[in-house]
Amino acid sequence: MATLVLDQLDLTYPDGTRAVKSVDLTVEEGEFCVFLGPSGCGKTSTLRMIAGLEHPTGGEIRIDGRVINKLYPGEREIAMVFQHYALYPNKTVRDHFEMPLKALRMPKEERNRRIAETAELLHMTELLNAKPRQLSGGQAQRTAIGRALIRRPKLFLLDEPLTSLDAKLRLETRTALKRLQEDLQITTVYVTHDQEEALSLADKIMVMHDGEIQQIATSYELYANPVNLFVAGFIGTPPMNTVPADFVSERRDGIVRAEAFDLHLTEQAAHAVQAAAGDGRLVAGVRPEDLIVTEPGGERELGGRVTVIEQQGDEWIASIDVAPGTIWKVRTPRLDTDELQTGQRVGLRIRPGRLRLFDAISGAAVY
Amino acid sequence: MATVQLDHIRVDYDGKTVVHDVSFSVDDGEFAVLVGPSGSGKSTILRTITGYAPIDAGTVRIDGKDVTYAPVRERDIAMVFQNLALYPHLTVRQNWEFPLKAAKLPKAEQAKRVDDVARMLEMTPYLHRYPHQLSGGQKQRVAMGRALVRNPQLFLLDEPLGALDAKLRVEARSAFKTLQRDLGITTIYVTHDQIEAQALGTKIIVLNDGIVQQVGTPETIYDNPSNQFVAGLFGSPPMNLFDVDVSRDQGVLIAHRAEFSIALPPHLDIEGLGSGASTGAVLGVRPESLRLQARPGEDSIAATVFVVEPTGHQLIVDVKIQDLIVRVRADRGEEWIATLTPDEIVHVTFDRRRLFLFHRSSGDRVA
Amino acid sequence: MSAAIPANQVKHRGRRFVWYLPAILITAVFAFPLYWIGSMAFKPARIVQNYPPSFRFSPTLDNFRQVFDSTYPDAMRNSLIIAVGTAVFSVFCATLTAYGLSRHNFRRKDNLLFWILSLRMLPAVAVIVPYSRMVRWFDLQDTYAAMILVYSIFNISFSVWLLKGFFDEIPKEMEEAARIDGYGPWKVFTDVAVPLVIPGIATALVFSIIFSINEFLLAFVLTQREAVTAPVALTNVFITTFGVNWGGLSAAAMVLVAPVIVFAVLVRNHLLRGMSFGQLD
Repeated sequence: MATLVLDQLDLTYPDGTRAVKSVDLTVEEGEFCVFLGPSGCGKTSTLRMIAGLEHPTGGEIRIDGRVINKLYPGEREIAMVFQHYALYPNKTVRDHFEMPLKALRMPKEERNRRIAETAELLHMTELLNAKPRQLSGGQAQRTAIGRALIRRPKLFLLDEPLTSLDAKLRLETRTALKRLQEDLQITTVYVTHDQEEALSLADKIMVMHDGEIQQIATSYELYANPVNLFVAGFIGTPPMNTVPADFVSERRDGIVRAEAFDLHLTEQAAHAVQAAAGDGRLVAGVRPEDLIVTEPGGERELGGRVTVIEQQGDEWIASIDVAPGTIWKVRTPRLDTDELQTGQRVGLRIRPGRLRLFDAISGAAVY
Repeated sequence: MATVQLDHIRVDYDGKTVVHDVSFSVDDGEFAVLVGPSGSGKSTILRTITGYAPIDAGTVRIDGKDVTYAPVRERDIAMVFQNLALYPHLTVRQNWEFPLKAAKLPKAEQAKRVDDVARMLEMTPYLHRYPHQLSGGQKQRVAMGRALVRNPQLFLLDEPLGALDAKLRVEARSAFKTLQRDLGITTIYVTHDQIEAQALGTKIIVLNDGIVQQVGTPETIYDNPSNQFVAGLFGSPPMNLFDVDVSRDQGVLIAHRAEFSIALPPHLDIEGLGSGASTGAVLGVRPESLRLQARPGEDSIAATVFVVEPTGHQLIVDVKIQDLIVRVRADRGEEWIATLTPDEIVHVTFDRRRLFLFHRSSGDRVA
Repeated sequence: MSAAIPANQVKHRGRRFVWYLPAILITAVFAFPLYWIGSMAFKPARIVQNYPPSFRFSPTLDNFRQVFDSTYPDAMRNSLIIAVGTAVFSVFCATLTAYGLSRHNFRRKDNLLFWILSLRMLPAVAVIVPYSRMVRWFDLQDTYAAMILVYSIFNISFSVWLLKGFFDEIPKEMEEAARIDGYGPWKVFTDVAVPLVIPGIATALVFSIIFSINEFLLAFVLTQREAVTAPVALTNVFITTFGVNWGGLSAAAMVLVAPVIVFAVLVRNHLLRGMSFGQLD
C-alpha cells in the first residue's frame, strides 16, 4: 500500500521523440488509477517508467515520498502484469508463484504458505502443477496476477491485461479484478486503450494523448463533462455526436447555428460562451442517449433521415443524417419506439442540460 | 442477387460430427448472421457454402440450384476473411484488380469497377497505397472492396471485424450495414460476438455444438430466446440465470431458492405441474429488468453491493443476495448508484413481466 | 457408406496418385546412392565390382569385420571427440554472443552480424594455408584442440545466426517480468532466456556435430596420425596404392553415417522447429 506521485515526468527518446510530456499525477493509497488513451499516447511508457523498465529523461517518480528514479525494477517493491502474461512455457503455476519469493530469499515454509494462500484467493489450488499450455486464457491471466500479487507489492501495475481474452471472459475477469483490488486495497495503476474498461474499473482515470495529460477525473465526471473534444470523442461507444456551429446572440439567451439546424442555448450556456470570449466558432456535442426521437420538426430544427438501425439488447442505435455528410447516433429504448424504420424522417430533441459546447479552434470545453 | 438454402447439412471431421443436421434459408437481399461460441460449427457451415468444406450429408442450394459438390469458382461467391488476406506486394488498386484479371475483364471495365468501389468505400485517395501504409480500418475496407468489385451474387464474411479495436469495430459495423443495405446483396456473416450479430443481422442463426439453436430476427432472439443457451449468449451483460424449484401454490407458480422466492406471472406456466408438486427449473432475468432502490419496497429483496462498474451511459452493479451474485443494469441518470461502495445494503426488485423460465433438463423455454 | 461416395470424390482420389508420382520419382533418385552404398557394404568381395551389378546376393558381414579390424575405429573415436568438443564449445560461445546481439542495439550491429555470417561463407580451401600455418605457430599440429578451434570458427557463426533468431522470438515481457520479480541480468539469462531456446540449442548442436563428422578437407590437411578423423581415415585405409577396397569403403561409410542418421531422427522434432527459427508450433 502506497501513494504514487509523478512529478513533471518526461521521456524523450534518443531520436528526439518526446513520448511523455511533463506528466503530473498523484495516485492515493488504495486507489485504482487507469491510464487511458489511443496507442502511442504515452500511457505505456509512463507505466514502464514507474516499473523501472524505462528511464525518465526528466522529473521524479515517488512512492510514499521516496524518489525511486534510480532504483532497479526489482528494488521498487512493485508488481506488474503484462499484456501477454509473460508466462514461462517450461514452468508450472507453482514455479511462477515461487519465483518472486525466491528472489526475496524467503524461507521455504513461508514460501509454501504464501503460495497456498494466493492460489486459494485466485481459485487456482487445483492448477498449481499445471504448465501454461494446459491453462485456459482466464487461468493464464490469474497466474500472471498471482505472480504479481504474491510478494505483496506496494504498487500493482497492469499493462492491458485483458486484451488477449475473449469478450465474455474479459467482462468476467474485469469484475473479478475490480473486486480483488477493492478487497486487497492495493494501490493500482492500469493501462488500457479500451474506454469501457477504464470507466468500469477506475476510481480515477488519466486520459492521455500525444504524451500529454488531457483530463484526470472519475468515470462519471469524464463521461458527463469531458474537458475537450478529444476526450469527448474518445469516451463512449458510440462516441459523442458533434457538429461545427457558430454562436449567435439573440435577446437574453442565444443559439448555435450549425449548417442545417439551430440549437437553442440556455441562459447559463449562453453566458458561458460569452465569458469564454472566443470568436464564436464552436463545436456542439451531444451523447447518443441524450437525444430523444420525436416527430419531424420544421426547417432548421434538429432531425433527419434514419440511415441504419442497430439493435443493442433492449436498445436501438439509430444513425440519423442530421446534415449532409454528418451522421448522428441516437440510443433509444427499443420497446418505446415500435415504429422506427430505416429511411424514415424523424426529429430529435436534446435532453435539457445535456448539450456540450467546445471551442472550434482549441477543442476546449466551453460549456 | 441470390437466395441460399441449406437442407439437413452434416459435416464430419476426423470421425466426429461437427455440424448436425443444419437447415436454414437466407432470402434475397437478407443479412444473415451465424453466431455462436468457438467450436460451434459456424465457420464450417460458411465453408460448406463456399465449397471449401466437404459435406457428408444434405444439400446446399444457391438460387435453387444444387451446388453441394460444385467447385468453388462456379458458385459466384465473394468472401472476406478475418485475417483480411491482402496481398502485401500489391497496391489497393492492384489488390482489387486481382479478381477482375482472373475473370478476364477488359481493362476499361476493370478500372471502372475499381473506381466505383473506391468511391463507395471512400478509398479513392488511397488507391495507390500498399496495405502496410493503411490503418486497420482502411485495410478492412480494402478486404471488403476486393470482394465487392466482382459484383458477386452472394457475400460471405468470416469475422471480418475481428482484427479491429473496439471503437473502430463499431464504426465499421454501421458503415458496412449501410453498404449492404444500399447494394441489396445477400450476405452471410459469421461472428462470435453477440453484440455484432444483433447490430447487423436481419436474421440471426444461433449455433452451439454444431446444432441450430434458434433462427429469428434480432428482436425475437433477444425478447423470446427459445432456450437457456440463447438467453445466456445474448445481452451485455448477459441474462442472469438461477436454478430454482418451481411449485404450485393455490394456482400460482412460485419460483423458490434459498436466497429468495418469487411468484411467477401467469404467462409462465408449467403444464401438468400439480398443486403441491415441485420441479427444477432455471429462472432468467435480464440485468435491465432488475431495479435497485435505496429503501426496501414492495417485493424487494435486500442485497449487498459487490462491485459497481460504470460503463458510460449505464452502470453495471453486481449485488449479492446472500452468496448469490446478481447483475443489475442501471441508467447513468441514477447518480446515487454510481457512488455506491462495496458491502452497502440495497434493495432489488424483479420486473415480473419480463421473467423467463427454462426447463432444467432440456434448457427449453417455458412459454 | 463407401457406396455413397459421390463420383467426383472418387475422381479426386485417382488424381491424387498422379500428383504423387513425380514426388516418388524424385525421392527414388535421391535415395538410390544410399541404397547403393548399403548394398555394397553387404556384398561379398568377389561380386562388388560386377557389371552389370548383381541385385541378388547372399549378404555377408565380412566387410564390417574388415572395418573393425583396421585403424578405422580409432579414427571414429577421434571424430566423435572432435565433433562433441566442437559442438559444446561453439554452441556455448554462440549462445552468449547471440543473446548479446539480440538484446542490445549498438552502432554497426548489422555490419557485425554480416561479418559473422560471412565467416561461414568462406570456402575452406581459401583459408586452409593460413590455418595450417597458425596451427603450427601455436604448436597444435595434429591435436584435438586444433581441430575443435578450427571447426568452431565455422560453427559459431552459423549457431549465432540460428540462436539470435530464437532469442529474438522471446517476448521481452518475459524477461521484464523476471526483472521486476528481482532477478539480475545473469539469472534472467540462465533461468528465463536459455530454457526458452532449448530447441534452438539442440538444433545448433546437431548441425555442429553433423558438420564436424562430415568435414574432410581441413581434417585432411591439419591431421597426420593422432587426430585423424573418420572421413580422412576412410581414404587412408581403404584407398591404397593396391587399389580400392569397395566393400570395406562402403561398410565404413555406413558405420560413419548410421549414428548420424539415428541421432537426427531422434531429435527431428526439435530440428524442425529449429530450422524454422521457432516459428513452428
